[in-house]
Amino acid sequence: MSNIQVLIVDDVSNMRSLLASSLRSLDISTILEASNTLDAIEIYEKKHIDIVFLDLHMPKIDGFAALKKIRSINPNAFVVIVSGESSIDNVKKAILMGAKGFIVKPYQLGKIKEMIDKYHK
Amino acid sequence: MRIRSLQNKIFVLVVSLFIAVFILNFYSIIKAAGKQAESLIEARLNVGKRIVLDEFRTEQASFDSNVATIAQDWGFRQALGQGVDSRTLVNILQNHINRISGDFAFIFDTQNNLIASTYDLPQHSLARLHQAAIDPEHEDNMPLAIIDNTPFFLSSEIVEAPIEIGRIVVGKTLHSSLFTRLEEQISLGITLISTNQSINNTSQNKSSAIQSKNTGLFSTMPALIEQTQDNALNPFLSVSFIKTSGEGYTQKLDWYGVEYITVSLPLNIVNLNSSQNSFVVVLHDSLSQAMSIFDRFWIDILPFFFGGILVSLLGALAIARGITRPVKSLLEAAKYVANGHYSAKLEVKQSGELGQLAQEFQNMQSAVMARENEIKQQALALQESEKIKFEAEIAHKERLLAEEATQAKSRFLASMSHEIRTPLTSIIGFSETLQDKSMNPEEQVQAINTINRCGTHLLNVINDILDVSKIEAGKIEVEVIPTPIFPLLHEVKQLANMQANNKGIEFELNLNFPLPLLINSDPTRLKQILFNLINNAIKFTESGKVSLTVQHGAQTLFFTLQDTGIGMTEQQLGKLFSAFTQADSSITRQHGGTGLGLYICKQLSSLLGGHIEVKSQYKLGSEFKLSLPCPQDTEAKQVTNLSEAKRLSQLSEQAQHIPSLKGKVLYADDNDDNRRLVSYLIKQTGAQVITAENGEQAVEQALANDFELVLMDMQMPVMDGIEATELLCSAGFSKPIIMMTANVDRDSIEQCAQSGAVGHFGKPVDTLKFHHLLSEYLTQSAVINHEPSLADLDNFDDMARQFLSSLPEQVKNLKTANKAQDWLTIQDIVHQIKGSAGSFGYQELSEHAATFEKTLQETKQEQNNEPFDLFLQQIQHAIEGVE
Repeated sequence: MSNIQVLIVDDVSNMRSLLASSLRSLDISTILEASNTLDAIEIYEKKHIDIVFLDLHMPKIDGFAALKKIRSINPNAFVVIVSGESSIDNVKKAILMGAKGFIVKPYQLGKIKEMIDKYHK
Repeated sequence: MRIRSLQNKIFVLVVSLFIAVFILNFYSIIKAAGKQAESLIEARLNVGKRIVLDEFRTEQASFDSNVATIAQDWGFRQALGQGVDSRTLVNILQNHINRISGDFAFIFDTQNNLIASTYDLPQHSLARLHQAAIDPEHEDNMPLAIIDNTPFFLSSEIVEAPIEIGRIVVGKTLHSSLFTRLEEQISLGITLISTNQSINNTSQNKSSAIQSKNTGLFSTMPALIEQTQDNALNPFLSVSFIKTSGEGYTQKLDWYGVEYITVSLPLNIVNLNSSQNSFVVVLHDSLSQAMSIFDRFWIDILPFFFGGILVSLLGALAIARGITRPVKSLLEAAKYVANGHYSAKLEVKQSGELGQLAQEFQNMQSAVMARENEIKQQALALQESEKIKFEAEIAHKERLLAEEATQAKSRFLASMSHEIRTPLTSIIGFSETLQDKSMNPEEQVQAINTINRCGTHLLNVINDILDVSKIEAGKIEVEVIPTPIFPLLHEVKQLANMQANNKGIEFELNLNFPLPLLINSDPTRLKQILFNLINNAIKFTESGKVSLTVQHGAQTLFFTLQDTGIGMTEQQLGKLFSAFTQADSSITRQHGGTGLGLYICKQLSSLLGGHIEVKSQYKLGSEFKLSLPCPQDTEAKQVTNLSEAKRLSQLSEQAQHIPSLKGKVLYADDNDDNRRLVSYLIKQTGAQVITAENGEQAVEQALANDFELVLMDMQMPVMDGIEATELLCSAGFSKPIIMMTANVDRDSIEQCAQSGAVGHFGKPVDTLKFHHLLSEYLTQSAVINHEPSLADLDNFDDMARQFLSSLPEQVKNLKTANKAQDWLTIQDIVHQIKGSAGSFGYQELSEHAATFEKTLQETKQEQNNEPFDLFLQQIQHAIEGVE
């Protein structure tokens, strides 16, 4: 589908796998994974990442911190929050911090595709 | 115009007079100058003549004294006395004439015989010379001889030795130097002219000019002497005009025709050249030379001429204007006065007749003005009294009108209050009775029905009042769209039937085909008008029937509603369409109603471009005729029979069915009632609905679930629809969001669009529109009925007609099968009809077929004749298009 690099940040490995296979089904082959915020930021700094799918709920340093750091590295970073819950506070906070999308788990393939479409717009 | 031409005439007259006077003056000046010049020349010539003659006499006298010395010379006398031979005598003469610069000399004796001559001339010539020299008759005249075109002085002297022997004659050339000197001295031309005396009085013979060979003095005299002096000896008659008509003469003739003035000298000239010609010596002066001063004169006089012209132009202008200006101002003043401006002031500057005229005019003007003012004042006074009367009348009428309006308003308020209180009383009363536990269920149902009916009525009343207020505020708007009339009429008919049935009267819908399929109108308003009219008709009809006839005229669609009701009097008809008025206020109490219905009808129909007419006969019934503009368009589809019309109305009924949809809808609204109503409407279609009470809940729900559509109320507590929509869009939510709002002003709509909503939907919710909206965004769950989308096919109408025309054949087949008791075939045909009739819009027939099919299956072949006949009848109805 597209020649883009995607980074999945989630502490739960099977969630990462599910999302990765979802992305592969959308013809995105270059997928990088990180199980915590620090790794994620390291990868983001080194590699050229187009889209970050970021879990909010992670041990030690949560997704908001990662979002903040990534946005400070690249103010135009395209970060999509993937969260288990859609409390309005989280949604508002994420959007205010510059997230470009908010997906609530369990999600359907369509939502992922919509985000990719939005990125391409 | 006339003034201008008068001015021009005067102008031209004065200028031409000036020019004429100038030319006459100039001519006389020229004439006088010519005369002056002539007499001047004459005087000059006479002076010249005297000088020349004096000079000649001096010369002659000196010559004469020289000749006298010869005659007294002793030697000469001695020789002559001694009678020496002529040769010796000639020698002596030669010596003597050499001494005195003579040219020749000869001597005649007293018998006039030639003694000796130094000049070899014939004797007769010498005799002529001798004769001329001694001619006693002209002693004053000096003798001159012309010999070989040379002039000579002649002098003779008596020679005595001692007695008179004879006479000596000596000739001496007249030298050109003398003439040159004289010409210079007197500034006049001296010319020797030969004349032929014998042709003096004839113009045919011309004297020719002669030239003096030896002197060159006598320049070519080119002129012809036309009139020479009669007598050469009379110098005072010698002045003559020499006309310039000679051959080879190139000088131009002067305009006054005089070239030269001459005077001849009194000389006794002997011409030896010819015996015919005689010679005169003339002094002459050119008049043209004298007149050449006029060249100068022209240059001097021309500025005066042009100056004079200019002065005369200005003068003429001044005179012309002096006459026309007062005439013009008089004329203008007259025009002014003619137009009624009596106050125009005429300035009287001129004295004399014009001034008097102006003065008289002014007097007349002021007289007219005074009279006019008098009339005006009278008119004003008259007007004033009329005005006062009129104002009083107006005030009276206004007061009456105001009173009437106040009365109407109070009547209206009274009836409103009655209209509103009556249903409210019922509603309150019956709802109270419902609290009574002892009521049986039947009574309860009745009470509920009454409450419902009264509530509906109350709503109608309020709607009417709102409509009227909207109409009066000019706020009502019509939306003219292509409207299918048959579904509309169908709806009207259904309602009318219901109302008529309730009242126990009949309602009839007559369609006069052909009728257009579509008309350009506002369906809602048209329906409202028709409902109102029908309501009205039924309300006032106690028995008989109410009929609605639809007919298409040339440019108009007519809806005629006739009833057999109580009718109206002329007086009532007049007030019929006014607001707050019923034909009779007692009617309100008898029949109810707000009295607003017909007023609304009339206003709405004019908004739709039509009008309502009413005819009524008291106690016999009324007829309301609604006319709407509907141009006949040959291309527009026309419906020609009832069956087609019915099918069309049924099809639309199908289309009005609640759509069958699937999918999940999120509806956010803080109002419980709205949430319940909208949820119900969504569920009606088969779609799922999840509700949220505010924007925050809506966002959470929208992100956590999979919705096909989000309906968002605009105004909600905690987080409003706009904010929630914005947030959802930021979060990558890409499903359509519709804003539900009661505010349909431009700002709100723009806000909706900016927030990311794909559309907006007005509240209160219109069921039909709402279902339409849902079908737009949700998918159809299944195909209901028999492929209703078939109607969209291009050739659907043709197929439907084909179906209709196949029915008679089917009837025949059914009858044949019935005769043969072939129930299987009948069942097949009925099944066929059931399917196709439904598909092509003949719902009733389809239903009948289904019922009959069921009967056939249940009862097999027993006792089917009655339902069979019934079915055939129904097919026939369908064919004929009968209800």
